[in-house]
Amino acid sequence: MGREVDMEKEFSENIDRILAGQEVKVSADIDDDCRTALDLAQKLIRLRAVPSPSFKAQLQERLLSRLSEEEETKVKTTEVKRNWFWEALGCLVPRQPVWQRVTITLLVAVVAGGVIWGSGILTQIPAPPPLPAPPSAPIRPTLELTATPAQTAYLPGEAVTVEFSFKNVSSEPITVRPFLPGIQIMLPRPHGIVRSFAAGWGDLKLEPGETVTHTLVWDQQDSSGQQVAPGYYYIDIEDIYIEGTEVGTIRRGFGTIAKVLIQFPQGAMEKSIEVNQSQTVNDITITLERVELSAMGAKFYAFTIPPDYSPPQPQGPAMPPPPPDMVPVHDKYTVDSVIKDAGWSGIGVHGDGIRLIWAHPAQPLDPVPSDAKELTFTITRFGDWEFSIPLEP
Amino acid sequence: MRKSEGKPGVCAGEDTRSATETFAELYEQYLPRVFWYISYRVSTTQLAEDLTSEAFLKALKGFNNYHADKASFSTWLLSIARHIVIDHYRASGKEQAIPLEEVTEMPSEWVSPEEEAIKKEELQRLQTYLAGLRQPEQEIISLKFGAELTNRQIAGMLSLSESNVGTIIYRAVRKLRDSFRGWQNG
Repeated sequence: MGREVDMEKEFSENIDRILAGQEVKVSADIDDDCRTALDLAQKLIRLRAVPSPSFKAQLQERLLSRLSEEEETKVKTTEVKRNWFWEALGCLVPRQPVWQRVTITLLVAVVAGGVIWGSGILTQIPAPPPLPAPPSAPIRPTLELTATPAQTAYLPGEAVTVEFSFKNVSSEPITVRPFLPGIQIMLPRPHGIVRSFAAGWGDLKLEPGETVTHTLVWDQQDSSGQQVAPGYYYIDIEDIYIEGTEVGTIRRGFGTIAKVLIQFPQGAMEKSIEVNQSQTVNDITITLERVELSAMGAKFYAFTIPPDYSPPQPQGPAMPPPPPDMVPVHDKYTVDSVIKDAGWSGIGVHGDGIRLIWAHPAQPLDPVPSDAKELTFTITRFGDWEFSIPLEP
Repeated sequence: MRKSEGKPGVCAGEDTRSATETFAELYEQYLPRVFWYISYRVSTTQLAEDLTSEAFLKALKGFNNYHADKASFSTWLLSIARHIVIDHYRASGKEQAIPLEEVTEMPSEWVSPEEEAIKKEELQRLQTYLAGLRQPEQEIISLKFGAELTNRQIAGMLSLSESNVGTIIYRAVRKLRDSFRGWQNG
């Protein structure tokens, strides 16, 4: 019993060390039971999910918006009241000599697809669903921020040049802080930041209608100085504070505002492949109809008739929704053993079934190199439908 | 409470930082822990995000009722999160049930696709095995590994002794370890 208590104490102390980011210290006589329990504890911490950047940004905007409304209300009253909330909070937080940059990127590159209603041939890839608007006062247009790469595609090693434009579209002078904002080069989810360019410490004052531009040059290296692999890369802007007499202080998340393609040096495969392979898993048959490969990316088209699906009667523009179980599907594709995430499909209801399409203008799939030998496509919802796509000429 | 440097007895609230700046710091500091805690207790990332939003909105609304002499800010905030999770299960009328095929958001680390696939499966298993623990064990594991509270804070929150909390954590982790072993050994 005494030994168990000792092991329990050692375990507790080490858990606190792990959570504090310190190294584990084990005694010489630690038993296997305690040691393996510590291993599992470390796994518990490693496997913690992370909140998505879009969620973090949206929630922060909501909370700050509420806070601004409260402060506006307080300022408007004739009686000056002390804000005990913030003074009390001020006692809890250590002083910082400089503005602490809060880095939250708003990803708008999630392709969830939508439903295209129609009875004919699918002609348009659905747009991703709009992000839910926070329940706050309408945001007055203030700053227009755009990013324009000099080219849409670059060869490896070429300097990627992006021009950022900051335009005051309000009717009053505004101050933008920080300037320059932090900029991140990112891969699509589930991958993360490839390279970061830290925000500046200054601010930018813009008169109404005034535009300031800034050019970023990216050498195609990641944060460890390595050349990035070919594919699409997204340019994200970290949140910016905008101050003005009328707007007060607002925080704006711009998120992903541009993308560039780093091409394969050997070029991309460009062809349309009629696959017409069918796989049945869990009584659901999906047919991969064709694959379109181009220099700007890959597109996959599939078709399925879900169980108990009945063709809708032609009633004009109003069509019944597809079965919820099939809305939408997620997949991956493999090029010569390199696994890539294809994101979520767009779907379209047709008279005889459901068409699934992977690729979206906002988040296109990477192109396939011209010398690729193997291409597989796997749909991963409710099972694995795996298709091997012939690439021979 | 932290005191302003060079001004003993005076709260740092007298410094010139705005409410927004202070809030932004607190948000960055506590959002991960609240989210992690709730993630351990619910089955999907979407639900964890929804409940995390509720927790922060409630905290912002009710801060006038917060008294630093009664509880630390983290304990207070996590109590709010805890009650929101409890209310969620009461409203839904069911205990946490984690279907194995539920796909959960993975940490956005720079890992290889193979590692990502392994971690995804481990995460799914972990959520299932967590759901298999007794409710007090789930709660304590979530407060420890999610909210990163000390055993003392957990004990205070749940009206247990500190040593009892340590014992429950140790036993629950070993149960989870045995479940993982059972899965890995086929």
